[in-house]
Amino acid sequence: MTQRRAVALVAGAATLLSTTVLSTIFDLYSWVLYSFLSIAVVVIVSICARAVRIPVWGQGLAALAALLLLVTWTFPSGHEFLRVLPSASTFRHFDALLTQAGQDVQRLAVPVPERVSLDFLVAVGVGLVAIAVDVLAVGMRHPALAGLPLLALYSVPVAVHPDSVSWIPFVLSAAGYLWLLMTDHIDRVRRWGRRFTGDGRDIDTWEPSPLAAAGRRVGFAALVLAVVVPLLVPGLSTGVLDRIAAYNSGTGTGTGGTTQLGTSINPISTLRGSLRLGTPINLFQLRTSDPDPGYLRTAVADQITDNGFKPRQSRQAQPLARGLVEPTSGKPSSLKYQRYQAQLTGQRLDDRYLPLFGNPTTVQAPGGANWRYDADTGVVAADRPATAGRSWRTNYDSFDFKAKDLRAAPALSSGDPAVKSNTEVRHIPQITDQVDKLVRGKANEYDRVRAILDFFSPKNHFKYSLQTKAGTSGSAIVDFLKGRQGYCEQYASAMAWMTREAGIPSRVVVGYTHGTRLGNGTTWQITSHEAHAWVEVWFPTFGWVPFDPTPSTEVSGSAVFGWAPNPSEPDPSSSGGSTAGQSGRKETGSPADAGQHGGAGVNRADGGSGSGSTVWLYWALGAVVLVGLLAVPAARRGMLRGRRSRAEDRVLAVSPASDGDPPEVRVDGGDDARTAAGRRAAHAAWDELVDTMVDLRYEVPTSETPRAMAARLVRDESLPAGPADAVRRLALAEERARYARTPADAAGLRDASRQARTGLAERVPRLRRFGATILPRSVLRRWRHAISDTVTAVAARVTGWQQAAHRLVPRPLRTRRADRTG
Amino acid sequence: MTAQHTLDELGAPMPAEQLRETAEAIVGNIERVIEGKPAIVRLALAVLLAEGHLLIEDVPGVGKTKLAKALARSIDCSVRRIQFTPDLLPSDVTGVSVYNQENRDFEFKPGAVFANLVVGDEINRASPKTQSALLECMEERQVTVDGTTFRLQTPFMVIATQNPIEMEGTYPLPEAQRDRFTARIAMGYPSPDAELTMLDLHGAGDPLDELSPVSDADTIRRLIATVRRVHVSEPLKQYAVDIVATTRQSPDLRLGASPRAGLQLLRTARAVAALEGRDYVTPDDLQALVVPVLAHRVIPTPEAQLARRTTDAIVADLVRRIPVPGARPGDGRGHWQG
Repeated sequence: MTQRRAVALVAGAATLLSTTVLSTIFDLYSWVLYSFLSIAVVVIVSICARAVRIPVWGQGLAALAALLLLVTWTFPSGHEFLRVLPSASTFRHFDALLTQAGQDVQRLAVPVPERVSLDFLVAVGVGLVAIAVDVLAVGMRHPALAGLPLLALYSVPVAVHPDSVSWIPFVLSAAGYLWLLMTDHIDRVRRWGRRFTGDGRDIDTWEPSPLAAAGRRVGFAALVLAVVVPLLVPGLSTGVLDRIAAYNSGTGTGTGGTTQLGTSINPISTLRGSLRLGTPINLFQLRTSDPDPGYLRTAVADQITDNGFKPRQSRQAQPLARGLVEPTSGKPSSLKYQRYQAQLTGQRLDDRYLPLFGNPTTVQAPGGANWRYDADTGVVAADRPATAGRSWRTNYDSFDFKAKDLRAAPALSSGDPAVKSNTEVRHIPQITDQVDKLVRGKANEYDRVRAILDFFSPKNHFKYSLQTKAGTSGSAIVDFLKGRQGYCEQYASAMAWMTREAGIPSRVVVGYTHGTRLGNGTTWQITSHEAHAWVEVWFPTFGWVPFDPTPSTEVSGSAVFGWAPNPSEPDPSSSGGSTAGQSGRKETGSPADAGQHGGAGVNRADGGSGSGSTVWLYWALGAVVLVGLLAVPAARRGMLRGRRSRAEDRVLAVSPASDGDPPEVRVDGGDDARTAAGRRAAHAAWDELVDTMVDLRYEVPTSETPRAMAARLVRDESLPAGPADAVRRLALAEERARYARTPADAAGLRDASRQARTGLAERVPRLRRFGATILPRSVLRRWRHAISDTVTAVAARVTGWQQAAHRLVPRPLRTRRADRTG
Repeated sequence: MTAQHTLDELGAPMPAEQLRETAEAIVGNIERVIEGKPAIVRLALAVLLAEGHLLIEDVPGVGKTKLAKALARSIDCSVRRIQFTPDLLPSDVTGVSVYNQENRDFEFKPGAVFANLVVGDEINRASPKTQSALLECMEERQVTVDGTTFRLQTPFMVIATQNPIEMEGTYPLPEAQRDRFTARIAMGYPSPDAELTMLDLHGAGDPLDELSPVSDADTIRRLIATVRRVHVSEPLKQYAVDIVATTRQSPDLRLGASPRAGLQLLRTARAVAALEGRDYVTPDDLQALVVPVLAHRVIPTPEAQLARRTTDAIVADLVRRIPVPGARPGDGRGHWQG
């Protein structure tokens, strides 16, 4: 008993050692406390449960309950009974935490900051792993299997971490696992008996035996090999750096400069493509006085191409030191705005474009590069990437445009330089028709823009997807408008294109959403998943006004512009004026739109709302198939039972109508039809009993005669009179069928069989009875044996062929020659 | 000279019910003397019906001789008792030709074996010469003296007793002779209750004296005829062969059972089945008989002897590993443990 306790403690320690790998993905160490608490609670409760001899599943349940109490205590919602007993609100709280954790996992890049949701995830996850390890290693005594949950625990950070993980946690985890195996094995040897040396001396439990030395050597060598080989083989160390390097060489035309040290965003916005969301990478942090930051701009793509937009090459950029254009200049005095300050700190971002909010008033660019400012686009760029690890400050104005003001904006004048340079468009008949249809009858520029913006609504079957649909029209924009799925680049490019088609100056802006707020502070983390693209439209006197046609539900940190609700949102008033007041930002949302950053990663599944029903259908279908598969053994068992119970009827069918005549008995050995049928009926009834016993996990030794088995059943299981008689009757019938000249009368065997089955089933625990019904062992074993028999037969046949082929192959030439000459 | 019955003169087989009644009567009669040993008594009767011979081996005073005598008394047939001593001569067993002066011819005086039941007490005290004189009689059921062969009667059964403890001045039975005994049984001590009853009942006088026959030789012959007709299915014959073969392959046994052992095993099984009122043999019968029928014929290896494993335990263990004929545990293989 104490030895099992030692194994349980070692199992806990092994789990704890495996959690060291979490250190590679967390910034701080709060997870250590939570993992330790979870493991400690699980181990203690399991040991106590074993001390009072609860069955294995009970131990697992007890540990689960204890874990629940623990997380209720450590992550309270404030509505618990006695602080540890969970209430309904606790579970709602847990659900929220889990949802939050799911988002965080998607959004945050390693090393992740301390977040309650992630700590909750760690506490629950580590606790579950600890339970699995304990149940497998200590409860079921299969410590080798306990390696699976430990491996799962280990593989989570390894999968999440973009870099290769340090080898030290691997060594610790592996050592913990080996320790567990060793402790269990010592326990096994101890149970087997006392150990002796060769000369008969008694060996202490912990004294290694000569055999153990070999085992230790094997274990150590395996561990060293597992650590050293990946370190030595260069091809295996595919960190994120290699991936980014591959990305940059792949895109080639990207004007966003990159180095090996960081990543940047590609300012080309295309109408075709597929986006692969890799592991998020922390690009930069933002600290701002703005409670609700909007989009951060990096580059402006204002030159139209066949496939979308790209930044114009000839720029009249001036050195930043000459100052910026005052954003408010030329704007109506009635326009409300707020001036905010922001400080940004580059992490993995290394770009020659500086992420800034729109309408900056001052910019203190990071040193180390010659930053230039383009008054036309408001973009600050350097000749080479210079943002990694540096920080920059900016003051900016956040304008609150009103729909009614924009409606009243003056008409566009063709002489305006902004109009001149931003209305170039490639005319495509389909697009021209479409735009004409949309803007027909719209009196002013704003309404026309809104008509085009609202066109990208889910009502028109637009949906978000990381993959555009391939088209055949030869034109990217026509393909997109036909396929109607894509990500921000396609939406922004298409809207800008269509707006220009309507004669309104517009351009695509590339940048980032505000990302994830860290804690409750004013700091925000922007990762590679927050890259985004949207549209700016020129309104005389108001300047460039941003619009975002991308479905906001799919963009994390998507901004809600008061003057133009997102087309994917239900719009309460078409004027948009009433919503102008609320310019809240979306906090929820699934994975962020990753803009043009393409990292290697997993293809994101199609998460469009339209496909929801199909997904459910697939799930339901899968469930039905699974249930069907699971039901096959039970169905097979039912079939067998039915066939066996019909054997009795066949006897009656064979026999002449019972008119009292004794059945004809042929002493010469051959069975007549009735005798044979009677034997079969008895065999069937007995087989049914044996199968029932196998299902219910009774012992069925083959060296036991029916009579002996019946006696043992009646004696050991203390069957009540009815089933006991039934079992005896079946045994007698089987005995006669096997060994006597004539079988016993088959009548009533079915009832006896049923009675025996009921009686036997009542003697076993309910769980076992349930298992016997769902997954009958008799059927499963028969299948298993059938498979192994088939395999053996096939192997034997193949061997036979091989030998035959051998015989066909002529003997070596030398021998033949010798034969001939001899 | 007593009437001789050949094997063909057994008489008509008996219905199962009558057989059972007769057997119960004999068993009941013997049990008046031997308290609390029904299995032993039945086995002794089964050996008689199987036309075999019985070796009773146990410590002194547990009722070996009494069992033999009780069985003899219960059946109205000729009974002879030989007290084996070192100076017993073969002619005392088989008989001797004596010169008759009146007839001027040698006349055969039948020895002790010319009886239906021969009780050989303390058989291991006789010299090997005398022991082997019994051999021919037991196996071939005939006696050859001075070139003349005399057939023995049916039923013919030798019930020998021997004492395994006091080995001083004894001649342990050689293997060949042990093999001729169908079964060896150990009486074993009676249970405390049986012993108490015995004190009450036997305290006054010898209950053997009050025992009267409940059957006769003719009935026994009919019983034997009935037993011979008990059905043994083909798989069971195979089972018997398997059992005997296993003893020859066991690493614990230096000498396995002989083919005669298999024959006698099956024959006794028939008798046991008939005694239970069955007209067919079951593996249970064979399993129950493996120890009494086989254990005294096999010789354990020195290693098994060192490990203090008795032949009883070894053969009992062997038979437990042989699958029962006709067993179909689901898929017909292995030991199914839940």
